[in-house]
Amino acid sequence: MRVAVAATAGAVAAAIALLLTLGESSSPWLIVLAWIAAIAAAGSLIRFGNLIFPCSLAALGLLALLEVLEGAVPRSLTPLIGGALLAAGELGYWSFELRAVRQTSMGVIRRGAVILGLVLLGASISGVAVAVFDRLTAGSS
Amino acid sequence: MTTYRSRRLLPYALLICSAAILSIGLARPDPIFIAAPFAAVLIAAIVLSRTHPDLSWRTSVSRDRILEGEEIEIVSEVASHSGGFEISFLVDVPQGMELDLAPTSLLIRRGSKASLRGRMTCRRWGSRMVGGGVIQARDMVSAFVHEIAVEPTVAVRAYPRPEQLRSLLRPRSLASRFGGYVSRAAGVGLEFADVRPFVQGDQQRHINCKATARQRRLHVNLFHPERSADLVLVLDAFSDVVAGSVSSLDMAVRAITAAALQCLRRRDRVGLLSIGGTVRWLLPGTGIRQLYRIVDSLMSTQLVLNYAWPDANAIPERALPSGAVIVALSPLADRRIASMLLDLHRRGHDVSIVEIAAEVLLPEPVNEKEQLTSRLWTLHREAIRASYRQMGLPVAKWDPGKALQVAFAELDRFRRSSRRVQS
Repeated sequence: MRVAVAATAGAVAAAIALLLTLGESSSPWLIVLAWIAAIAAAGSLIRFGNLIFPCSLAALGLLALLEVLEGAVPRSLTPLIGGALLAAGELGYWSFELRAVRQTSMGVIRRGAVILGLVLLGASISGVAVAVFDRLTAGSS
Repeated sequence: MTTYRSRRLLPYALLICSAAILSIGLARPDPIFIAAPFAAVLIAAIVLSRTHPDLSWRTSVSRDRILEGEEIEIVSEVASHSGGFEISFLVDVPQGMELDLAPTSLLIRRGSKASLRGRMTCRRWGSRMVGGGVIQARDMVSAFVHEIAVEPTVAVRAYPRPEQLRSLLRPRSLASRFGGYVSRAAGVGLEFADVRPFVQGDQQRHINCKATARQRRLHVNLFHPERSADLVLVLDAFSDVVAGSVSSLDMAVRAITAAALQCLRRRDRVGLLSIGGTVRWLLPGTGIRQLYRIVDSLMSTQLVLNYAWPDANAIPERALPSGAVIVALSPLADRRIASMLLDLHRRGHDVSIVEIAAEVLLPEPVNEKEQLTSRLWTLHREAIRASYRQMGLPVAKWDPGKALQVAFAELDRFRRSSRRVQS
C-alpha cells in the first residue's frame, strides 16, 4: 500500500512537471528543473528523504509560479497547480506514515477520501480567489 | 499522553507565509493563488487541535507458553470515550522475537472498542515481557498524533525446541528401580531369561509347565527385570560461541531438553548440572514436573563473566548419584569446564562429552595471521580431544545443523569399544 500511495504522489508531481512542459515556456531550463524537482520528489518517497520531499515540492511550486508570472501558464490554472501540489504533499506524507502503520482497506478509502476532500476544498478556495481577483481587476480596468 | 504535530504542518505554513511575502514583494497575487490550497489543511488542523482522545486499553496474548519458532497473537483492545480517531498500535519487539504482522490501524468511534491484532514469532527460547509499545491516535486529517506509551505486561515463556533424538547412551549400571531398560540379571520382570528348578519361595505363577512335565520336577521361569538409569546433563555456562543466529549455548539447551525428554519417556531419573561462574544443580528426578523444572532452570541460565575456578568439590554428592551417566554439552572453549569434567572422570563417574563444534561457528579467517591462529586453535582442540579419548573419556563432535543422534551414536560406539579394552 505504501508503494502505491508513494507512486501516486510521484505521478502527481510528474503531472505538474508535464503541465509546465506543455506550457509556452520561454526557458527550457525551467522545464528541466521542473522535471528534476519531480524526480527528486519521487526519489525522496522511495528513499525516505523526509527533508528532500518538501524542498522538491517547494521548488516545483516556485517553478510553476515563475511560469505563471512569465505568462507561459495562464493564471486560471493556478488553483489546479496548487491543488496538485497539495495532493502530492498529502499523498507523500501519508506514504511516510504508512512506513510504521498498516491500514485496513476501509482506512485507506477513508484517508483517500479525506485527501480528495482537502484538495477539492483547497483548489476551490484558490479558484474563488482567482475569480474574485479577475472580477476586481476587470472592473477596475 | 504525548501529542505531536504532523511533520507536514510546518512546511505548509512556511509555504503559505513565503507566498504571502512574495505576493507583497512582487505586487502580484499569483503566489497566494498557488499556495492557497495548503490553507485548507491548516484550517482543518486548527479545528481539530482542540480534540483529544480519551482511551483505555488492555493488552493480551493468545498463548503465554510457546515453543521456539511458534507464533503468538498480540491483541490490544482499545476503548475510546471521545470522538473518532484512527488508532494504531506500534508493538515493541523484544529481543529474540520477530514481528510477523504489525497490527492494522482502525477507526474508533466515541464509546466503541477496537481490537488491534498483530502476530509475533519467537526465534529464541527465554522468558520475555511482551505487549509493550505505543498506541497512536490520529485525527481525521492526521494533523496531530497522540501517543500513549504502553508498558509490557504479559510474560511469555518460550521453551527451547528439542533436537531430534531417538536414543541415549546405555548406562553401564542400572539402579534398582523400575524403568525402561532390561537388566541382564535374572529376577522379576517381563522378558523371559531362563528356566531353573523350583526352590522354596518361588511363585506358583512362574512354574513352567512344559519343563516341569519333561523333567518330572517343578521348574520355574526366570525373567530379566526392567530397571531404570540415572542421567545427569551438564550445561557449560562458562562460554557461549555465537555466529549469527547460531549459538553454542542455544544448541546445548535444545540438546539437553531433547535428552531430558527422551530420558523421562523411559522413566529414568534425570538431573541437571549447570557449571559456570556459579554451579547450579537440580537433583535427579522423574516425571513431567522434572522436565518443566529442567527447562525452567535452563531458561534462567545466564553467562556471567568471572574468574572463579570451581572444581568437582563444588558439586554436591546427591547431584551425581553413583552409576549415573553424566553427559556434558560444551563447546570446550573454556579450560575450566574441561578440567572439571576430567576431574569427574578421574573420580570414577561415567562422563561423556558432546562437544559443540565451536570452530564451525567462528567466521572464516580473512588473512594469513587469522588462518594460522585458526589452525593452531583447531590443532589444540584436536589434541585435547585425543587426550580425553586416551584417558577413556568419550568425546563426540556435534556440528551445527547435523543431527544430535549422530553425536550420541558416536559416544555409544566409543563407550562399547572402550569397555572391551577394559575387560
